[in-house]
Amino acid sequence: MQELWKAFRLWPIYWRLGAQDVRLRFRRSSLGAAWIFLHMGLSVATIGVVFGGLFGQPLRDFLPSLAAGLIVWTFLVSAVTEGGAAFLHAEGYIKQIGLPIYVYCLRTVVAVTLNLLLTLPVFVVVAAVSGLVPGPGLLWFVPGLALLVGFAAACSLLLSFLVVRFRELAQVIPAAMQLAFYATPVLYPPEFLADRGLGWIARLNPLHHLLQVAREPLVRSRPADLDSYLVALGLLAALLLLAALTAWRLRRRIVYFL
Amino acid sequence: MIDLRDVSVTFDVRAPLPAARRRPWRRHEVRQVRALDGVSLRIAPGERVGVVGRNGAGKSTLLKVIAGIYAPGAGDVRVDGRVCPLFEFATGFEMEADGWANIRTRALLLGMDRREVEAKLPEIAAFSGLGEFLDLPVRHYSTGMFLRLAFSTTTAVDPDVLLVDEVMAAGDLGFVEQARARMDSMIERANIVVFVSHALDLLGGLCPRTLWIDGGRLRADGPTPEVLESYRREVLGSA
Repeated sequence: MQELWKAFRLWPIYWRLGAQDVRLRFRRSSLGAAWIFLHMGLSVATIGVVFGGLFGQPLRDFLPSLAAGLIVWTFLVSAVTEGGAAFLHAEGYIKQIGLPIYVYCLRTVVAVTLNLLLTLPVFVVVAAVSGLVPGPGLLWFVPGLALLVGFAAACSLLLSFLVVRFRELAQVIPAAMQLAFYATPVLYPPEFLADRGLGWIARLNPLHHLLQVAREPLVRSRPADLDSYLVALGLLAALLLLAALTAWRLRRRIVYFL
Repeated sequence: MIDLRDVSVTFDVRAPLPAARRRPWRRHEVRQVRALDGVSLRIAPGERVGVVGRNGAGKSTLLKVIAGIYAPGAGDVRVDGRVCPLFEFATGFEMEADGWANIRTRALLLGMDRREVEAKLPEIAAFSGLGEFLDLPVRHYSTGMFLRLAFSTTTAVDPDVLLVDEVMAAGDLGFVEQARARMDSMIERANIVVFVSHALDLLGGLCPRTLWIDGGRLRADGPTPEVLESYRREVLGSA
């Protein structure tokens, strides 16, 4: 706990490393981080045309919801995979410089959050093109975003320990997220499930609720259902509790496993 | 102050089994390697302490325990003050980023705050002698240029507790005289210095006190001339 606080106060370090991670991913490309925006924009356009057509959805309604969903989902995936690899990727740092180890978790939180902020303009463009007029309810996006960032932090604090201890997880996590993608209404509207009596798939899926707290304010300028907030908060609390337990068991030994 | 009490460190090492005992489902065994074994020592403010021992004796592990990198399996470690571990030069350097960015990152990692970094930036740049190369990505640097950049940055820190591993001994650097002076000045600024080296003559001039680590145990701890003499006798005797 004390170490977490110490790490937290080292913001110049994790901020710098996180921002550098984003920048260096596009090293030597002239468009640089704009690729993040372009890639997301092209994905939304392609998926929008194909799936919008398949589902017979008017693009005007479908595109904003798809864009918001895809942006948030991409964030969730990188929060889980990159956050989980925080210690693994920082092995050299951890073994040579005795900084509070959680600095490297916070670094991934910075990186994935910056990534999210670079893809959000895609939604703005899509919304503008679709003639979506935002209301004051758009402000609900702020607590939604806070929950997302909290989720990224909690995931990284928990998973980065486990991934180092159990190397198989590095393979399992991306596969699990791929499976979760099919069970989460991102490419298709949540109503599709409900209409076919499959509403429970989304209801029981915590990632769906996490998606909702950010997507509803963006797309409909209103808060998500209370259930979604409760599930998101519960998930956050559970992850943090597990992270605390894991850290208690593994913190002293983690360097030996690296 | 540094205070170690009865500190032990054990590594689990995954070793391949010999062919005779290997099975399709069991190819490795976990062997325990004891790197430090019941080490107790106390280093007071102002002390300069050398560490000698053969390869694999546990010298680097001792430094890493003091640096807080390895938590001991048994025993207690207490260290007061800002610890600056100098085990190598390059952690934190990014080949694709330019010289300035790398100076900033490395300096932050070594414990400077942002104001300190900005204040020292011109001096670091000047000592590196890299001039306008600092605007280029580090991947364009020669090995020597890279080393100058890393060395200049690393030695700009003001540590309380300075832990130096042998690779840092300035002898290998191209710009020896200046580098030596800068290293010495850093050591002078530090409150406590623990210095691992195989260059025994260097230790004699630098550290009044020396520890001899042998097989993970503290074999001797005393005035440098005496410890070095018995160390030399044993190493040369068995050679």
